[in-house]
Amino acid sequence: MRILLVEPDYYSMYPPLGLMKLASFHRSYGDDIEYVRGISQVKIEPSIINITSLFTYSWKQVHQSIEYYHNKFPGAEIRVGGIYATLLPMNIKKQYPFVKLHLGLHPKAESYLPAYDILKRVDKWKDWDRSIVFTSRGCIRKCQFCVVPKVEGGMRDEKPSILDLMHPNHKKVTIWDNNFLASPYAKSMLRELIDHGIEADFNQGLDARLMDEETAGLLADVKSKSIHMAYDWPWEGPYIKKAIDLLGDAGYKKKNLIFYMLYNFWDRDHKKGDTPDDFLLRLKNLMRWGASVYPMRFIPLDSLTRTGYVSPLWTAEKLEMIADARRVLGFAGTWVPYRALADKFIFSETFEQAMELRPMKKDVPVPLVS
Amino acid sequence: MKFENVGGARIVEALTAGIYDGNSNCIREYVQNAVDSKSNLIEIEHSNEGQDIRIRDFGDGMDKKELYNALQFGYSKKSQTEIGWRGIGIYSAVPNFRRIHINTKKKGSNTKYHVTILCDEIRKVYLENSSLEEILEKGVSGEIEEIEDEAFKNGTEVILNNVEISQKKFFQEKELKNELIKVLPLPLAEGSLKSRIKAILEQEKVFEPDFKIKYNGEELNRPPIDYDLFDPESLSYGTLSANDKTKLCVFWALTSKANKELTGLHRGIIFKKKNFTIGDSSTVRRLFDGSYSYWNYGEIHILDPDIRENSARNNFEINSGHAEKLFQMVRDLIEDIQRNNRKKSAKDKSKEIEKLKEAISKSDFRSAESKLKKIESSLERKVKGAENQSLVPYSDKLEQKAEEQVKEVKSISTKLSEKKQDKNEQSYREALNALPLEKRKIIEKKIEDPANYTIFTHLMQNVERSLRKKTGSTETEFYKLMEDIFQIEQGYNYEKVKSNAKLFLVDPNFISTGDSKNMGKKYPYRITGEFGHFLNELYELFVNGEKHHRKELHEAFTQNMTKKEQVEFYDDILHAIYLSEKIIAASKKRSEIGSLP
Repeated sequence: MRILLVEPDYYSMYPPLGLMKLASFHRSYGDDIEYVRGISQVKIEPSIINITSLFTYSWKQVHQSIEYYHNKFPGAEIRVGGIYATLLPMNIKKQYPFVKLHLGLHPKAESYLPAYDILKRVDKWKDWDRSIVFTSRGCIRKCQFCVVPKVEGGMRDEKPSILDLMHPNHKKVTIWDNNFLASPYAKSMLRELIDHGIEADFNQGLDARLMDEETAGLLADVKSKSIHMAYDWPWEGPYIKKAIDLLGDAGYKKKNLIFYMLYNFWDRDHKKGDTPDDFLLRLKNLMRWGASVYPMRFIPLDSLTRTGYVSPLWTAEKLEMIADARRVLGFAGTWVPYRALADKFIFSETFEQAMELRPMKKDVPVPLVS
Repeated sequence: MKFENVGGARIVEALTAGIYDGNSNCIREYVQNAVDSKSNLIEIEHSNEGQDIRIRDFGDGMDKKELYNALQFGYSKKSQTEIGWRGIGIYSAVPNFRRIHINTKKKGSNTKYHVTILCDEIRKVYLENSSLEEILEKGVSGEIEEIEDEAFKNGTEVILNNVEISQKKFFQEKELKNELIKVLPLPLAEGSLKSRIKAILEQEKVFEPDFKIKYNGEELNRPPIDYDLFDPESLSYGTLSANDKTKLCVFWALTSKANKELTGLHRGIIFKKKNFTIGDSSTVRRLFDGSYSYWNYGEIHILDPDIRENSARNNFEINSGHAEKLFQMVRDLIEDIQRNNRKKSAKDKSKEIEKLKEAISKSDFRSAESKLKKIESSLERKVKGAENQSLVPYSDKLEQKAEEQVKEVKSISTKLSEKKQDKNEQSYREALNALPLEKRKIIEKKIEDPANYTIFTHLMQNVERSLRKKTGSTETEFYKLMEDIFQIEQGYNYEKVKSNAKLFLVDPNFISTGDSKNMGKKYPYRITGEFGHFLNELYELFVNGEKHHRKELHEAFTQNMTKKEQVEFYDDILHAIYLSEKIIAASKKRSEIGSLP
């Protein structure tokens, strides 16, 4: 069979893992495959077109791809999978009744090693040189704001080795586990990374509450540019402080510890959520403890826009202040605790003062051109 | 999938020797199956950056029943005239890859069958000592899938997926290609000797394969790939037969043109059966205990169907008198081939002769002479050649070659001595004429009549005279004084001269800055190496020289010199003596120096 794999051209920092696995899966059946990103020339006459999707707010490019390839190959079967298709299947089905939807993970393709070689065919990914792995699925926590418990459920499918999941030519790995440290094999896998000199990116964030001295020591020895964790509720403070201290004592640079900080979340069922004051408290704490901050604005799981939602405890203006402060004071959206910036946050009395940016001087004389 | 009563007696052997072989031999197994399916094209492809290897044939393909049977361990309906007859081939890559996918389609059918073997599961359960049925049920956990697929052409496709990290090096693109060329049934590469080798084999009904094998799109051929490496006259061939006249094998062999070990694809002699390689060049080499230099490339094609390879196809089963007999005969054959190699080493000096000519053309006569000597003695040596009838012709050819070379070398030798003579006379005269008349006379006399003219008795008398004049000593006193100076009681010893000759103090305050062991040590009597040599020479001339080798020493020195060089040598010595006289004349008496440290 001839299979076309389509990645809609939405913004993404990572190549389409699912499509790469599907490529391997179809190859194992002796099928011809072709992979494209967005609207593109296709060499084969496909009998099946697999289109992936990402966040719900990137729905537009997915719809464009469906329309374009359906018109181009009206005889081909179109299958759409991925996060958006799984969370909002009816959104697609209503508009395109001919589409076959695939919800959740592909039970067979899931266990295949991704075909990284197909990335060479797309400019955006042609220099990609890291493996992306899931050493487990699901999570031990049930955070209200998170999609994982709803889509993947509890902790499962823990793999004993990372190396087995990596492409042998790769020396870097991005670990997409929802809660890597909750795996019973976490420590042995960290040792594996150290022994083989593999650079790891714990992209999804590590669970600070599971940090202990041994884990911190291992993490400090693994090659990594930064370690991400999350500080979502004020009550997590003592755990966060302990995690930072353990990693710091183990020799890890504290400013390379980056904490995702959730804001703008409103729990509809329990009528609870975070406030700007919570935000300031957590920000001050992290700056005092020497770690970096990456604010994460809550977007409802079914939102079709990226910025539309405002929690009842927040205002659009305050959300905008954070966005501006990140742009002006942050490095790639991260606030790094350099002395001046840390002091600005720590000595602010109010949220507004902390987020305030020095106003542009309006009366600067314009240089005269002679 | 459910498995019942799988396998037969061949399983244990296969599990231990066959599937745990640990290298790229597994590809051969799949190619064997493809050959048996009567495909005229077999494609091997390296994909996903070497992660996956795909072996595709366009032969008969399998239906569901046939695929199921192929998955039964050790079950094969094939007869022994076919190649893969043990029924384990489908599992060959289990040690090397994580998964094996099989897609197959019968000619004329529209249904493709697919099954996946989970190699890591098999390896895991295998270690747990499970029954064979359990192993296979874990390893082939899914059912055979039926898929309607028009695009898939008939035949079988095996996809080896996800190479094990420890096995990666065996499956690199280039390494694998060389390995495939070594083991697979391929036509001979195009070249000068192809038609002759082909004819030799066809006479014994060993035909070139009637299918093509492509690797990453390129058609593969078997060696010799570079015919220029070999002496074209060295092609030797024949058959070996058992006592009952059964023909066991047909062989051919080539010898390297340069007297040098061959490497890579052209190294050694290999066994072939039905065009597949059995073992490698070391399989043949190991039969022979003596020393063997890999100067040959050749093939031994097994003709007797009773001589069977083992399941790993890295050697033969010794199950018949014929196999024993074959090994014995091959052993003798290799010994004979090695005899011819030795003969070639002694008798084929074409490369050395080239070098000799080059040296002469550069007027490097000294090196030309030593080369000539070596070549002559090698060509003169008697070397026994091969005894096997098939190899005798080449041995004789080498003898002929040697005779031709002896002639050539003789003419070169004459030419060399003529040239040398010319050059020596001319430059000798030039050098001599450049000297002042007085020196010229002495030196010319010495060179033209060395036996009767002792240059040093004559010349050193001058030095001796000036020393005696200076010290006011008689002849006996003078020699006593020399011994005193050098502080040597008996005989001659450079080391003693060096350390005891206090008179020749160079730097009384010398402190070593050398290696850490001696650093900071004070050496009040240190004498430099060169100065030590000088003392040694003086002692030699004054004390020892009189006793024995004043004459012989310098004859020994000069015998390898051209006349021109002798002129320069004696000129230097005269100059040294002149300098010595000057030093003596200018030096202070012992009484004038005062006390010494």
